[in-house]
Amino acid sequence: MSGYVEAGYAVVTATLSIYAVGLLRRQRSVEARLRDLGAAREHR
Amino acid sequence: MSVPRLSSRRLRSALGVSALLLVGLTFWLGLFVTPPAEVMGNLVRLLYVHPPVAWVAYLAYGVTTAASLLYLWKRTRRRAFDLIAAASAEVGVIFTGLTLATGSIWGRPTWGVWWTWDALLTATAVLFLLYLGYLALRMVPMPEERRGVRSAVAALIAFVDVPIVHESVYWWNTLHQKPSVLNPSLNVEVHGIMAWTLLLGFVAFTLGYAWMTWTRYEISKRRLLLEEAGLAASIDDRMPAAEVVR
Repeated sequence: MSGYVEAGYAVVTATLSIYAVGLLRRQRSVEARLRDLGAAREHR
Repeated sequence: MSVPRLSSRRLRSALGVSALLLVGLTFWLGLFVTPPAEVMGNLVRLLYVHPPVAWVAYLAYGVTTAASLLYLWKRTRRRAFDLIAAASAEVGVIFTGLTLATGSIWGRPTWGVWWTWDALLTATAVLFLLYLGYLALRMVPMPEERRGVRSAVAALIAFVDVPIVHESVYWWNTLHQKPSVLNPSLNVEVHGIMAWTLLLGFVAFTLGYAWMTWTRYEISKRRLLLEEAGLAASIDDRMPAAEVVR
């Protein structure tokens, strides 16, 4: 192949992977903060 | 007989895994199984990705527009519609960026240039900037409802560019070819395994869009809960002091 095809697929794979992993990390972080807040309220 | 309930979280995970598998299958078919085209040769393989990502960008902005309309109409105004509009626009911007990037990578060996001020390319770049502006507007600090209304109006204005992008190849004499699938006569000009791979690409990226938008929406919803809970907690903290003062 010409190199352009591989570059196109690589750009799509890298961009979507970075965005998807970022989403999962943000979700985990916000859920952990919610849990911490809930635990702090119970403690009080 | 009881029907097992599928939690929304499991459904979302299943959606994400399905999207991942189908995108992987599209890539495998596109790169290794489908034959090179007569005229374009191996470059045709980029077209299993480029039209599907462009379609997802259209879809994302369509969803943003629909959610914005529902938010603007007072009878259906819900915070959820504002969050869905924002989530879908964010994913749409990612896919518009990918449309421009894959188009540019295809254009270099085909047209001899990475970029040209062709009507369709320019309209797509404007679309990208319009929705970046929409996302920037959402970050301006202002009361929640005012931000929701202003963003919804901005989304409706930005959407005007979507039909311009799609129709530009018919309205102007452009370098970009006319759509092979999403054309007015719905006359699909691709056949056999190449057509099935392209169709799979449309399904796979649409599922990927659905997972991303849903996940982004859930994050925004939880952030709001967190903000409200944080606010309530700080009010609780101040209450005893207020009691003493009184």
